[in-house]
Amino acid sequence: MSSPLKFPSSDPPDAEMADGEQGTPNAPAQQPLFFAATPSAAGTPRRSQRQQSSVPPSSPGSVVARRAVGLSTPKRKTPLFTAGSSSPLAFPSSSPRKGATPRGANILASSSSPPQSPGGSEPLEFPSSPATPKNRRGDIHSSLSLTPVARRRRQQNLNSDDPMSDGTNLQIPASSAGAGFSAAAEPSDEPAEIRAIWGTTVNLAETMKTFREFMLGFKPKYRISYDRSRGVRTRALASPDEGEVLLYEGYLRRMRQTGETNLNLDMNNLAAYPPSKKLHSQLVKYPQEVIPAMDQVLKDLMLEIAEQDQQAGMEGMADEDGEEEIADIMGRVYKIRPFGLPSGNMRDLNPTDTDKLVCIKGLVIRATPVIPDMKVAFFRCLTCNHTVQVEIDRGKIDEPQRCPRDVCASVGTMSLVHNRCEFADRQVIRLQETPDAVPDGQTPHTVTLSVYDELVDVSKPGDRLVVSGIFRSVPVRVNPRQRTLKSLFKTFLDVVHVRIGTDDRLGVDKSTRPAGGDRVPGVGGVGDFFGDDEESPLEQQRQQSRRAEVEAKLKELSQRPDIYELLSRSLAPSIWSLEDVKKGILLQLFGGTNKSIARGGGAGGPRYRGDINVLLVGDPGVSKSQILAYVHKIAPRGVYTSGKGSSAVGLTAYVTRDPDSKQLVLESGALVLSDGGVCCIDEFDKMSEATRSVLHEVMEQQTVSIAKAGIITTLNARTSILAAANPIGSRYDRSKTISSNLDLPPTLISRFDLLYLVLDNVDEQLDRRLAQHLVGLYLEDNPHTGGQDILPMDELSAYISYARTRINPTITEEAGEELVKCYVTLRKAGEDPRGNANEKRITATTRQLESMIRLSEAHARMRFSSLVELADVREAFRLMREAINTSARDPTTGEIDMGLLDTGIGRAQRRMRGDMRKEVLNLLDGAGGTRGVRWSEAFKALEGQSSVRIQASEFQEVVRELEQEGLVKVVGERDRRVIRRVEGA
Amino acid sequence: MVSAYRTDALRDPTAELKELFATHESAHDFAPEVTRHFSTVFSSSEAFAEIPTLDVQNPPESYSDRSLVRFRAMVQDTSPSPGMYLRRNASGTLGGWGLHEDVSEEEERNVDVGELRECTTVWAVSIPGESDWCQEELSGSSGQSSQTHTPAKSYKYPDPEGSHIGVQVKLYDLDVAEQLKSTDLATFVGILTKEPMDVEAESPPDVPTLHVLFTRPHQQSLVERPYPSAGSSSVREELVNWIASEALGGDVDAAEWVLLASIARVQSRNPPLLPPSVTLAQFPAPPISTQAAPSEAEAPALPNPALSHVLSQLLPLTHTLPLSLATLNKVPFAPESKDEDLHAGALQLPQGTLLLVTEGGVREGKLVERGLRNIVALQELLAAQTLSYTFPFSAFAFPTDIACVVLTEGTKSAFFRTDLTVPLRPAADARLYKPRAEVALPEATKLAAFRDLVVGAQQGKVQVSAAISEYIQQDFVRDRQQDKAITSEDLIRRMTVAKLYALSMHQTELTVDIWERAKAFDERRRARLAEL
Repeated sequence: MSSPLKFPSSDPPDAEMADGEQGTPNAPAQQPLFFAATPSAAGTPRRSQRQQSSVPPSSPGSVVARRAVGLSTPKRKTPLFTAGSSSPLAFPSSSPRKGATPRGANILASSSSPPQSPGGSEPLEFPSSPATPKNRRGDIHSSLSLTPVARRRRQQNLNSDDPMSDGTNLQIPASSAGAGFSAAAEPSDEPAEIRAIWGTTVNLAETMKTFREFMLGFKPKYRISYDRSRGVRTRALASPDEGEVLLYEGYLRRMRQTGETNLNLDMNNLAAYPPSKKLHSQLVKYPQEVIPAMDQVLKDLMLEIAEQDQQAGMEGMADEDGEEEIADIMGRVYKIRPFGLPSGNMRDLNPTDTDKLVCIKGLVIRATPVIPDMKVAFFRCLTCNHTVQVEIDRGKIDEPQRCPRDVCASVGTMSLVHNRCEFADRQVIRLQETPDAVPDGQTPHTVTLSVYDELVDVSKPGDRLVVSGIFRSVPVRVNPRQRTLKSLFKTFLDVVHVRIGTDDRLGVDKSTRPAGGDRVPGVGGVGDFFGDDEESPLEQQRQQSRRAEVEAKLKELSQRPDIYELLSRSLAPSIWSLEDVKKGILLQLFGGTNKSIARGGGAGGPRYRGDINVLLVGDPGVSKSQILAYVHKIAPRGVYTSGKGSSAVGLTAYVTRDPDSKQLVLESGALVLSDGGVCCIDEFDKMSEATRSVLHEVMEQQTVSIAKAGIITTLNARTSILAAANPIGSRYDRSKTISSNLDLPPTLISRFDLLYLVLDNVDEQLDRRLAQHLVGLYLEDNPHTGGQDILPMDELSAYISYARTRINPTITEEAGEELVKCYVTLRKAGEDPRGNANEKRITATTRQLESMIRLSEAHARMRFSSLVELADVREAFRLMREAINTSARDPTTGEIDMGLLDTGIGRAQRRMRGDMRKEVLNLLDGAGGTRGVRWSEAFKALEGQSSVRIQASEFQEVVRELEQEGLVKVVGERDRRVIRRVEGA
Repeated sequence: MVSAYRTDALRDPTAELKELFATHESAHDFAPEVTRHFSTVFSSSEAFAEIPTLDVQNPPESYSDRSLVRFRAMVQDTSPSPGMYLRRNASGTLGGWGLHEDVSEEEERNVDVGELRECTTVWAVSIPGESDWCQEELSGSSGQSSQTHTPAKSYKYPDPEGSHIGVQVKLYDLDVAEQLKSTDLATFVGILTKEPMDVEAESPPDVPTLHVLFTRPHQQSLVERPYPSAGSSSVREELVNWIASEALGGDVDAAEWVLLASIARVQSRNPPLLPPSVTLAQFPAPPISTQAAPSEAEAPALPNPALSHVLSQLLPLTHTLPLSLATLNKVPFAPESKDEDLHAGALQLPQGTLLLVTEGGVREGKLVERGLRNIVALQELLAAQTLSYTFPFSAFAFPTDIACVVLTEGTKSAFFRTDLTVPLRPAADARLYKPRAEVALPEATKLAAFRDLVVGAQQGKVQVSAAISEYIQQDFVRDRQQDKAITSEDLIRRMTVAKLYALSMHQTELTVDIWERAKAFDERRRARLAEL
């Protein structure tokens, strides 16, 4: 297996190399020879070359790797010539018989020994042996390249006194593998003259050795003690053994078993393992050098472990299976994806970060379709059919201007053969600062991200990302056709690791995301040990310690007996009173748990919403809008919209043509955007019919269907809605029912779990305090806010966020019974005590039961309790009653009637008639006997009993009804009418 | 010494800059040195005045490449990504400030990352709504030039049709750059060149680019006036009378409301103490010119009310926004980021602007979605003094400080809820619409006194003593006992009016007398409203 190592060829510093071994630039004589063997090594002075060729099939079963070392080309050569003359040659070393192919000796331009590879002169030999792909990564523009070390089966240690390393600046320390991977810490047997990679302090051998040690030696206990030393709360281990596990060895096995090729490397672990501390800072400073080295170690270890397992006869790894597995591993490209740096603001990126590993947060605003990125161009000479492969170098491919074969050397005959070229996936993403990261009054900045391979299409526009990547500055081209560049630079990030949806504000409700669907493929796969399995992998040190601190504080807070009051007080503290409204909204923020039938089996079952919807109705000037604005600020994915201005489109989604790709794209509106969050809608009553009809769907099905431009689709809009509406005619008319006060269809009103009436009352005491409050606010210089003991907004937000993500309370049996009891009570409240079935009012419907469940869950969440207990249900019941009291109370009878909300039909009249009917019958049964009662007397008697005035028409109507039912009989005319009870009725 | 520098700098700022670099070559951070040096050189106001101005009369074309200019401008867009430049070019000379060397690809690979520095790019435009008198005071009178300038990226100016200048401003001193926010006003002094905008684009067009040497921000207002100033009471009366007679058909009360509206600024955001928006109701519609046939396609340009001219004589920043269905449906009011370029909206105006909205041109018809959004944007500005800029997947509310007067024909604004509605009672023969030239100006000293009063009041502060607070509380409780209809909103409004009333009188403290006068003044307005 060949492993050409390359040095940043750039400059004199490696004089040793240039002088010693490297051929002079003018050594074209050997070109033909080299060309044949190295079709891919086009002039890439700095570009890594990884070339491996597996052993020809003639050595069955053996995965003997051959190695060739390519030395970098001195810079002085022109790119074209570099391509041919001195490129690192993949040198299919002859055969195992030679033992250690001299790694350096026979390769270089100066080398006089002709390549012995039988296939060396065969132009197509290279492409035909793809079994060991080059370890190319789009994200790393390394100046050196490594190839996985040769694995010698049966522990042949062939490298111990490898002659190749002398004189070269390269070394492949992993060759120590010969001693078996258990001897990880074994010092490299390379001669000690190899030093740092040019321009860095990275000693390649050392780096690889250290990383190897880390991979083989790291145990969770290191991390735990590291975290403790930083004051970070650590997870308790189930047993001391857990801390002794060789974490990464386990991961490597898992990778083999799952076919995963990416290993997420938590950089905090590097820092935590004492011997690899230095590696952490090296990784940050020189990722382009260190990451490829790590990749190589990873592959080496994969092979070693596989071999070890094979020898141990592990299940599935015995003999043939094992061979196959190892061959597979050989053929794969393994990548380390480091993460866990403190994430910063993209505004803080500055020139000193160039080529360093950085971590930033942002919002994806645009992503290109997948771009096939040519990695290796394949050229064929039209004259002699000679082929050449040219590898990409920093985004450019140098097209050979003439056929490199001396015998041919025709100019301009090299043509690109597209289907022989190698491509990789690339995608360009524009990442915009998240609203919370933008300093006040500034417009958000945007950075360009390049993502490659597995990371392509992982994120979609609208996602919040935490990306780790290498910060690049490249000069701007004056003119695309010219070779000159301006000394002006543009910057972008080559992404190495992506994590979706981390936010300091309330997180996205995870139950709204498809299970596992959001995982970053290949990336989330293996390696997030400490990150649990959730979306909260280890944050960087500062944040983590802060988080732990906050967590402890939050837990402490949650123990306070008055936590409920404290939180509700802290919600919009500048707003006067409205305690119950605030409590309702607070519970809305916590939300109930989403339940999905999928959990019980049968994926994709319906999902029962846990979102609580709240509607505020009230007089103008009672701070409804202020409450909304406040909630919008702390709510997850909070979207604030005013009903008046939002058309159906603004509130839903629409289809536009992307200006770049000319493809149709979906742009989602407010409701879709607030999927998993809270959507605040002001002036709900002013909303157009069309928009409202969309809300019907959103509020029960939690989806938005759109049919536009030939696309019919359903988007998820799993959002809680907090809406505010003004009554008809601005002021609430107390003598009317809520439905007649509100210009909203009752069907929509009933979809709100809580509906509050916020009314303005005149009361001297209250007025005085209000005036004081306002004068203080508006006239004095140091405005004071409501209570003294309140939580700051960020803490409140953190509290809610924590509860939402961590706590999913389940209902205890006791609480369940209480729920049933409360529901029955509510239902009973609607029953006519006189058992008149057809007069029954609807007090509570199953909707209210569901609401109550959600509210009790939210209350339990608020307490950080994993169980919904009696008290939670009682408070939910109280809140429901309060809300029903204010909203569903019949203005004339003062009784609760959900029918008012559900059907909008006032029932006061019928209620009154019911009473009257009863009384009329009583009257007749008592005093009247069989003779009956005179009409006027009966009317008078009733009026005497009743506290409200009885209308003659009502009385007449009641009597007529009774007569129709055959219960009474009216005889006589006009004033002489007599009402008689019908006997036996 | 300094004056020698000054001449040098005026003549050849680039050479001066290079010279400075030679003496500070070792300085790690050269940019602050530049700021320090040049702001010292031009510290005196007369020296500053010597720098030629970049404005509509003197557009970029009238300057040779790399001349030193000053540009009084509004920051329109701070979202362009910061650029990187080589502090020292390969040849060892100064980099940045437009001094780029072209390098070959070979050299590019040898870039010393340690020499990379960051510079901030913002887009700045001529100050929208700047009055002539203010311009004259700050730029000195400059003869009208015959040159017609076609501004680059006119969609980045709130009034794309209006003549203006748009310039890409590159700031090398990052401390200064960090302070700049959208709609901030500042005078940038620097070297004028032409450079491509937006390095991400394929073939970016060249736009005028100013490489800033130093910046003078205008934080409070473009022009400064003292507060309180002496002898205001008679001036105030004269001012009100002048506004009334010239612009409002002799309606003194309405004129006083306009005065109060124009001196109102945002006092505090939390709690929100915002300038009250005023509707002048029953403001007659403009006379429709008889010769122009009323065609749907091309509505005739409507004359601006005289009030617009009067206000521009008094205030440094005024802007008239004539509403019509066409403008509502077509002109974006709020800035929107399209293809990562922030397009300006008609409401992207600097702080301290008085916005005069006229509804006279609105006819029956259909408002499309943009129209609705525009109305919401203006309403939000009136109610909360924030303007929401649209970005992909997010909207950012930016604080504004724009006082607003709405002129409407009806009894209240057709579109907007304002804090105050004042029905206008003009004299029968009032000419509410007349060309600028026909507005009778008071004598120069008087006009100057008017400006002093208005501008001073804009910047003034009024104290409220505890005794007055107590008095106001009692007053409110008493009023509420008598009249249930009085709500907390009335109290808030009265307090706002009283404070403005005190400001317009150049008083430093709110007194019972002012409170009662302001209350009576507000009651007169309510009485007028009730009569409608």
